[in-house]
Amino acid sequence: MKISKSGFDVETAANKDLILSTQFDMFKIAKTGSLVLNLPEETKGDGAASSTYTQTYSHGLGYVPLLIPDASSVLTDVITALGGGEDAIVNDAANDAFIMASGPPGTNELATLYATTTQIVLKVVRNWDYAGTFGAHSVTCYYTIFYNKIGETFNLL
Amino acid sequence: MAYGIKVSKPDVNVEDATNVQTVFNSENNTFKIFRGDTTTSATNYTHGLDYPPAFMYFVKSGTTWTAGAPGYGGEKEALVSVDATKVYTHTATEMYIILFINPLNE
Repeated sequence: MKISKSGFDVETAANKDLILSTQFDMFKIAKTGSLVLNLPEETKGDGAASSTYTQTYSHGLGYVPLLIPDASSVLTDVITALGGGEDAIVNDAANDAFIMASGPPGTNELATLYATTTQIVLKVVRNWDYAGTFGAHSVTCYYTIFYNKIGETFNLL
Repeated sequence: MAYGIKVSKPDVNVEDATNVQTVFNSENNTFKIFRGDTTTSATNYTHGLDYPPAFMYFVKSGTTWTAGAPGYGGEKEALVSVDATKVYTHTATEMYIILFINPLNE
């Protein structure tokens, strides 16, 4: 089945001038939802070991699915002395420019969303190159899981 | 809508469904996926089109996969790029790259 864009003859339209063509694959949404981490207030000294928090969802697909958003080491908080402690939404934070004035580069809270064959995982890591206190706050990530499989090699042209 | 195809979400009247209430509406373009490839080196390959295609990529770390590039905020590096004929990867880290028929610059 083919559907052409407005103004194009579907019989002769180039692929890029089609709205839909069943020759090609599409994103098929399996699940949308959110993962929320409620993080405690935490104080550590210079060079302390990092703290890791995770929240998971079992997708039940048996393979690694395509997943959005693009969230890899997204800055979600800084120490309270520098104005941190606010609730964060990863989807919003992922598009923010990194602000060096937010604090020492190695003392930060970073969020990553990733997929495995069984789960999607929201992971938040707090790092303490320098001493400081992270305030209690929540980190939320709104996700979309697709039935499409990561690693599937194909060419439909 | 003069003619076309519209499919509404369950319990929504398709006659007056808004865009967010539709599963499909032929008035709106869709991403048309034509190719998926895995790379494990900094390399390039011919994509088969004559314009730069829209794309997405996923990066492997251990046994997990993450969408897009590592790093935070504005310091993320671009690990994949395209031009009118080729796809270029800029890392030996395993990646899965999806190409769309949709032009990147339309």
